[in-house]
Amino acid sequence: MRHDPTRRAFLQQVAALGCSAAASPFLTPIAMASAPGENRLVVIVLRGAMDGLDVLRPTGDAHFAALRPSLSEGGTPLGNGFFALHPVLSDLAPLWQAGELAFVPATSTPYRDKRSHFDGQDLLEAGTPDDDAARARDGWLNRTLTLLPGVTARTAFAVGRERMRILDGTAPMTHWSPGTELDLSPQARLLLDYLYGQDPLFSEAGLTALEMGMASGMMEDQGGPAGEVLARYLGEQLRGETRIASLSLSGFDTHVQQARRLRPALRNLQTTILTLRAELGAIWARTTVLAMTEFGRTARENGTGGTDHGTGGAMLLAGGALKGGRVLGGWPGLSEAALYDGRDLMPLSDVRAYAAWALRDMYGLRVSDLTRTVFPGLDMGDNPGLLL
Amino acid sequence: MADLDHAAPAARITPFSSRLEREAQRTRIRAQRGEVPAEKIMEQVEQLSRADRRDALVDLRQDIARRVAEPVGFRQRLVDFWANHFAADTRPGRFNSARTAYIEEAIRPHIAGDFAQLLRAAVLHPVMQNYLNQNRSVGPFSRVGRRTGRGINENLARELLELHTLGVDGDYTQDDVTQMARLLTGVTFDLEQGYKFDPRIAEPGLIEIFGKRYGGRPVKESHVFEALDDLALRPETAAHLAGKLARHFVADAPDPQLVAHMQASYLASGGDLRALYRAMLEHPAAWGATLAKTRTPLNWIAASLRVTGIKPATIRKLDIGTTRNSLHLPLQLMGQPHEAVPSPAGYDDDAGAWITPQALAARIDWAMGLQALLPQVPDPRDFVTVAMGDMASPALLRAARAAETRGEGIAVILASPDFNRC
Repeated sequence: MRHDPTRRAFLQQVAALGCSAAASPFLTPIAMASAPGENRLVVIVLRGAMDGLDVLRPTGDAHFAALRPSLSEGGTPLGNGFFALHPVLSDLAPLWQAGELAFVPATSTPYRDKRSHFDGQDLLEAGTPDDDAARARDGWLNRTLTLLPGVTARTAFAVGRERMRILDGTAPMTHWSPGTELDLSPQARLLLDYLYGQDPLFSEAGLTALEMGMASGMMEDQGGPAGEVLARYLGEQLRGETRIASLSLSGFDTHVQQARRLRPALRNLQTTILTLRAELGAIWARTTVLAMTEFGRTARENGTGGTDHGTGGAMLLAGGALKGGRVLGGWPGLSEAALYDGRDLMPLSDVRAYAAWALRDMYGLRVSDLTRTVFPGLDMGDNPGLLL
Repeated sequence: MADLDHAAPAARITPFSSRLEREAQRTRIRAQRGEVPAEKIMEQVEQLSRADRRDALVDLRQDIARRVAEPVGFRQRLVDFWANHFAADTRPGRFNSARTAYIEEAIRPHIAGDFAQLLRAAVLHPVMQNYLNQNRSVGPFSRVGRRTGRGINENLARELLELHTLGVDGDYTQDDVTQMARLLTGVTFDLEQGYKFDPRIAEPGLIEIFGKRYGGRPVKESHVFEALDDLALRPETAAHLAGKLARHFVADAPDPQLVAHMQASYLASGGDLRALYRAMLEHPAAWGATLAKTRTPLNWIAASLRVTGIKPATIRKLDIGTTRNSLHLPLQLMGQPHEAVPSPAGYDDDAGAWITPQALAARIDWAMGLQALLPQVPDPRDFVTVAMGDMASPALLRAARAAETRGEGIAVILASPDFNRC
């Protein structure tokens, strides 16, 4: 049985239990608020520094095979065949054909030279320059919400157990980990409803907790890998009030035996995207997915069949709203002289610029707001025309 | 403040020296790269890290057991307050899971003395240094700096002024941050002895901060101590600490007169934290009729265990799986993962910050599961008095009578706004 976790369904359920909706007057403002348009944005934070050179393999670059003796075989050629998709990601190839998948192969945040996961992820989610003084404690997606009309707690959703700094901040948002399921008797639920309704500090959070906890408890437990569970849950939210969502996937820190160890993480990423697409149905046409990581990995394979922390890396874009089937932002090359610091892929762009253009095109935000509030000090460069 | 004079119940927390030693072992193992197969190195490093994670679960049990045993809890709440004020964790690498040891060794012993002592212990601890990159800071004109071209990292100096002492509204400039960072060079640590002052990386010469000159040749650790001692006694620091403490213990927007009284008492005492606490507790504004703050997840779990009669010894004997599923994971879902802080600024201290839908659902879920751990489930009508004394609201008293089963009644009381407030 599929449960529809709308407030109407909740009210019907409460009514059936003989409780009046008047016990929950705080329902109304949320239910009545207008949503900021129909476009959906999903930001996937890939934790651990995903190796862009392995995901989108530049097989047409004369230096690639020599740099990557154990990490260059196979893959699905894309477009003119200069790049090939990692073999595990072959199920994404149809999205490329359909114009629903694109890559920026050589991009990065402003973070340079220190190559710490922790700081790199903080900066990716803060969306600020690589400058301790300018570092924000809130996240760029939350600052985006402050510019949108009609934002409610359900407009933005972070899913998963991880803290999502990208959505931290003053604007309301919801964080939920699918699997937090409440198994309550009708009477226990009524009592908690009643108690939370008495206390303004608890009323809204309490009611939402009960509603969401019971709703996910009624969802069929279909199991599956982490990304699939998150995406299924997120799909349900995006069919409802949610417009902006974020989740994180990990397992990308592949210092040793990358050929084997990167597979589960990529499979998880692929499943997440394909599950979202299946769950969203017609809404997929209004959806953009941005998958970004804290930094790339070394151009050269190391002595243990892996790669180490680098600089330039790949960003993945997907969605029915996307003008995809292309590689964006150019290619710096892999010759010794072309590498950053003689070791890493040279970033040709700031990954925040692509996020900024997507936000502008999806929500009509002004460039001046984007470069002041969302990504302070960002030079957005030319419009890459991401969306259809 | 009788609570402060009693010895705290004992807790065996994995000492920081053991975390340091494991990191030293990992470093030695990694140095064998080339001689030993990579898989073998990975395996040995992972084994040590597994031991670190296992110890973290033991530490969590010990910590919760101590909270359950603590009769009044003012001391523990002060430790929590200062651990959040000096927020640091070990996710940036080097040591694993050493935050609990850091709190035990650098914070807990210093909560009832001079703030200057606490400041020194917290800011100079290797966990804090590692968290805020102090160990990467080198004076450009030091012996090492001149040879290698390495320079200053301002991270610790900035947070020292912005978060630990003067506060973000304090009257200081970027130049003050830079000067403080220059003065802090020399402060570092290594894996053999932990904290140390290394004159080879310390910036020589006089350094002026807020109109006073520190340092000079030869560079000395005492120059750093002197600057920290002076920061501890600045009026902005007193105002910052008084405001934060009142927000934590009294209300999100405390009475300004209460804060002013606390600030003045602290300064008059020469920076004695006990004077600061006393000023708060003796002021009538601290004793509002309502409980205006909320229990942290850790303290809510401990309070729930205490009122349901679960003994500290039972908690200490939980197996690893139960610790993980019944304590470690729920804390994460409630928004307070063990061994982690959200940022150098620590957790938001507003009453509502803990009460999000996800976090509250996790509390309800945990409360519903608690009955399985109880040998005997009490009658909710009696239990409401055990849990709340005479502070239960009429609504809660009604709900306690109306529950369908004893277990659910207990859970409803624990998950109620009444029991989550403090």
